[in-house]
Amino acid sequence: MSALITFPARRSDCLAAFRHWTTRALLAAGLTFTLGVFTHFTPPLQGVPGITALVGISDAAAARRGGGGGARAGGARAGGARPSGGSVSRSSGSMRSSGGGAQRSSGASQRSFNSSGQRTASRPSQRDVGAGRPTTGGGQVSQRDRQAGSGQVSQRDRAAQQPARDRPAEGTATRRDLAAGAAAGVAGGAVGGALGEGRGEGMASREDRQAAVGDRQGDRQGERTDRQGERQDTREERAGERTDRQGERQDTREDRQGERTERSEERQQQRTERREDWQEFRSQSREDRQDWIEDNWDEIEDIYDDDGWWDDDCDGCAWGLAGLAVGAAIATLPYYYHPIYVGTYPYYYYGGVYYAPAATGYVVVDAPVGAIVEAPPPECHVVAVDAMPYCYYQGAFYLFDDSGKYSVVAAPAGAVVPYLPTGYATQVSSTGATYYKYNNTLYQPVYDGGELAYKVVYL
Amino acid sequence: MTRLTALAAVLAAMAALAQESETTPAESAAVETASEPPTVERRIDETAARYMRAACEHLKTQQAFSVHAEGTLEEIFRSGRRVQHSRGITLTFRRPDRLRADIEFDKGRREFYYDGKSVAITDVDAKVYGRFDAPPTTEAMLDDAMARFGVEMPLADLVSEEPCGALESAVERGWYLGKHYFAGGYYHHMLFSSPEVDLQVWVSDEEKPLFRKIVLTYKNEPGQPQYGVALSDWDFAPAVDDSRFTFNPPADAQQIGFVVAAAPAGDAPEEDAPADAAATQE
Repeated sequence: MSALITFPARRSDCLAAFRHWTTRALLAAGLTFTLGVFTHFTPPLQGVPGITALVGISDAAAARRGGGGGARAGGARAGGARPSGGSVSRSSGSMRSSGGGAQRSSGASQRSFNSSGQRTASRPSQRDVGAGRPTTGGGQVSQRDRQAGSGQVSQRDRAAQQPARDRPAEGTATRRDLAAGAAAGVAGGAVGGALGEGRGEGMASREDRQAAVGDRQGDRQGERTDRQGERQDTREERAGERTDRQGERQDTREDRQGERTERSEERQQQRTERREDWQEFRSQSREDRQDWIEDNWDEIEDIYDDDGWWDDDCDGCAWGLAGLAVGAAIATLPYYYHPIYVGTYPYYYYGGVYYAPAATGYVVVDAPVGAIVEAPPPECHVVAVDAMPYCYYQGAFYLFDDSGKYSVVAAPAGAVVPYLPTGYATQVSSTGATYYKYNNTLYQPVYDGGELAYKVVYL
Repeated sequence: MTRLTALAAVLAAMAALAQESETTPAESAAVETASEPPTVERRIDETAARYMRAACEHLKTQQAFSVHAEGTLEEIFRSGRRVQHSRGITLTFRRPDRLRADIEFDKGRREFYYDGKSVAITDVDAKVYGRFDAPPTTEAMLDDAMARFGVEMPLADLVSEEPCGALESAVERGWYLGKHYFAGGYYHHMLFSSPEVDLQVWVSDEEKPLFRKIVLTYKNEPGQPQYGVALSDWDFAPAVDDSRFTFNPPADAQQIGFVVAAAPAGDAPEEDAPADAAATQE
């Protein structure tokens, strides 16, 4: 019964736990029980004030756990894989994982978002404009908005739904533990559902959880709206400044035009003006790209932040600083990962790196075309092809799609990227020209603004 | 390269303001320049303007020189963490039509050649090079390379006919900070500010003053990255025979094309589409 000591303080959750363990005890004793027998015990317990003492939970422990502990109850802990606490700082993910996870369907929720997802009222995003796509209602929608609007399954939920054989080896108080615990919790919840017990209590706690989630979503939405507003203000200021600068330059040029007397001065003047144009042009290009990133970053940051990917203590979390070569074998997955499927093939995604299950452990593989991820690697380079922005990272091109996610697509012809992916091979054509090949994509070296770059070509 | 473009703008603006300040009373601590847009108040400390002007004028009169530059450029990650990249450049220049730059940086060795007829860029370790015809003077070549391919030659402003140029757009404020220590000596340290860039300059205290250090802070970019360059080994009588400026491609080097950059459309660049190149020119 020691496990019960760690059960939450909330009475409804304790009750559920009590029922669960009582059920197991009865089963272990080989006794036959019926729903009627079980419910016979239920009414008195619901009214017992000392229920907390009954299951051995002190007030102090209850206080430490707080409200979130109750919400976490029946899922992970009843499943027997209890996180030790502390290591996983965000309880919201656990709350989302607990209860009801088995009923969710990511596909269904995505469709729900498309038809009824919430969108904030704001200006059209740079992404929409830059991509030439129509902007419906003008605003961006965050990942959480989509989840809120549709009950979309979270990454943790999906992790919980992974078959046990796909789950990584057990660790201590890791995110994987939480996922495994959540999976077991789902199973536990299913048992409870079969018994037909505690549905009312479950509904109540679920409403609490929904309310808590809603509060946080509201907070984040507000913050996001604020940030969008600030960025919009900044952009408007920049646009105004650009206009001012253009006007000033024009005025100055007109003044100078009248004052030109020597040819050398005129040449210098032309050069100056050309340089000004280029500087403005480049500056605006940088700003446009920055806008694109900022527009998309709210969603990306929400996802990464929510999953703890910015944890300073996370080894290997320094995006873009280092990567694993394709073919590298690892025994366990990184601390954080997202399970995805491309067709029927399972992958685990983390920081732009894809891992596939191997005979023993996992192996690093190329980004599979068709993979859909919540967010591209944050350190990707934005490259444009026919005015369509792609995020390029280590040979993979991510394209924002209408579902609100990022798809790995085939390398678009004409894309000019600043570096070759690790592990490329040199290939010489029949004409003697050297190309670089990686993952069936050919890259042709070119100079781009004086820097060596690589252009995607199809021969 | 873009960083250096900004440097060009600021340096040139400095000189322009310095020249203007020459006509104002020397006693004035702050100089308000005339014939500027009325909404912009520019105030450049007279001492700062004087040292900048002197260094620019000295450079302008040199027929040939070489100099070594050690540059550092910050890359700032989304997390806020900074990574610094270094680049060494040895520049050799002979007026009016010879230029060579030997660069070593994270991607290996790169060389620029201009021989009065063409420009060649080669990445030695990658065994590739590009070449295009160029106008007959350095000044015109710099314009042409930028206009056609967006190529900004390294430390281009040092070799300009007007090293500090006649730009008047950028700098609004300037201060003389005093004689400060750097790399074994004491130099006149100045700070200039434009809406986008803060520029610090260290100039030697001698009859023919030299630029010794330049630091730019990009104030409007995320994390305000800095680009710094320390200039050393100034030589005003270098070996400048023609062969030094002529590129002879190695037998195993491959000629590659240049991306033809989308040129700025006057004062109103096309909206929204990220401004990447569309085509290449062999």
